[in-house]
Amino acid sequence: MSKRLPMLLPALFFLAAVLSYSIEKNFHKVEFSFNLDNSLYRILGSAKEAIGDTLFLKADAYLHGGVEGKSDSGEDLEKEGKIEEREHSASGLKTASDWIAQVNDRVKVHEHRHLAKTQQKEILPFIYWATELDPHNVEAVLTAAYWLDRHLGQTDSAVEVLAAGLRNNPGHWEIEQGLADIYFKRKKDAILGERFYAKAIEDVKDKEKDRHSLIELYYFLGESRLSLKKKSGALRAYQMALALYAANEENGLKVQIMEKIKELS
Amino acid sequence: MSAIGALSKLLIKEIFRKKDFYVALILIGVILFYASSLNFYHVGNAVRYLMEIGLMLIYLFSVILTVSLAARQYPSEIQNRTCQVLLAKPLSRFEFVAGKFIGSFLAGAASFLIFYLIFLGVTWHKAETPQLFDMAAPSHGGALSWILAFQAAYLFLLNLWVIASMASGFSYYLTTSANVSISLVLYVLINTYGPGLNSVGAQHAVPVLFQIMAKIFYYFLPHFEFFDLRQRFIHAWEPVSGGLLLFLTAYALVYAFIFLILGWMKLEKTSL
Repeated sequence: MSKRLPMLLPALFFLAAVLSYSIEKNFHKVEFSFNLDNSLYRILGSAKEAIGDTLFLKADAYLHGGVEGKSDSGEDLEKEGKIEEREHSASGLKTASDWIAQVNDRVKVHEHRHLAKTQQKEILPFIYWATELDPHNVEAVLTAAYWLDRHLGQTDSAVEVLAAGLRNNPGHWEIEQGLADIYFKRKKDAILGERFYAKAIEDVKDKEKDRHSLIELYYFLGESRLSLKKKSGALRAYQMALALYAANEENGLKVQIMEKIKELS
Repeated sequence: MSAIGALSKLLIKEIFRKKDFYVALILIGVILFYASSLNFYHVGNAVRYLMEIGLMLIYLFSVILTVSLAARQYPSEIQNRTCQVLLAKPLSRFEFVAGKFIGSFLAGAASFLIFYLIFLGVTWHKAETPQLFDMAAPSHGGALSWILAFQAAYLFLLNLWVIASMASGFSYYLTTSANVSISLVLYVLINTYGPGLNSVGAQHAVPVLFQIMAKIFYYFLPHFEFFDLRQRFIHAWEPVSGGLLLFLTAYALVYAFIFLILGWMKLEKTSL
């Protein structure tokens, strides 16, 4: 063995050099595809999306005073204009079956209440981590933007969240709509509003399923064009919105659109 | 009584002589200070996430420290051959069992109270508002109450009381590592699944053996989740009633007594 060692050593060095070269080459490929720069990915691996989703549900529980399971998949977080100071709900409370369950019912809270206006900021850490851990969770991105803009007066932060969301989910029409709404309705920036409304309309994939959203997008595209004095473009947008309505479908927006078309024709 | 006190004092000294407590203290301090420095979307003063992290950490470390201390007492006395020397003194076997348990509990409680004070300080600092703590019952305006802070601490001390007695009682039957593992697994399982065990036991789809086991666990093991008031404390709900506190105190005392009797029965039968 000791006689063969001088012959084996150069062979081993050569093998090591080949291996290190191929590892180095593949390492860069791996780094690119799995984004090793992301420290969270390095720590948590692919579990980070699951943790992110759990944290999003946690934010929902926070909205309900720490009571879990009051809404499915955080839907209450997204609902608009339904924030109440306090709301008790007897429904959903099960009658305790034995003394252990009775004690648990008295220790834990099962009532239904929403966070008070001054406390709504408490859900932000969980929404932040949810979007950081799972940047493809569009629901979390939209929810973060909604709360920041509508309830916490942080419109610029909402724009940052949506812009980051759009970078991570290119071509997602709901994020584009969120940006368009903020630019046009809140910041009164019709140029950016028009751009994002047009982009969102372009990116709606399922035109039938999202028909009502599409009508809204066309309507606000028309509104943004109107405020930019682009009357013919606005008229086209209103006409597109009207064309999406079924013949027998009647609602307030349809009436409004028809009036706008009449005005511009 | 003085013998029990002397034994207890030794254990309190032991926990502060070992590195474990300081490692936990530094870890809690570093995580809490880091977490309190975080700012989300330029909105300051969100504190509930900090309370969630802080309470989770201090509960976890307090339980680990208490269980590991209680579990190693009797086996180490046997291993170092000091048990015979101790029991040769005017010290009954029950006093030995009680002294080891009370010492473990007091040492764990002292650690917990130090962690808890740090936690309250960091939370106070983060909130940057004198309204964070309020003597009155909490309102939906968000002020947290001292009453709940006290109740949460008191109930967790009862929790430590039960877990210390359990690990202490088991230490007369099991080796240290087995005891620590079993005590912590039971603690986590009961805390997580305890309230739902009864419904598992009633499900016909579950094998009969599991149904029986679920029922036994549900009715015979201590329900550690009774002592967890984090949800009320963090989310500013109303404090629990005095009657419930009294009941839970009695519940903890009964379970501690049962575990200590189990330990004492084993020690009585053991020839040293």
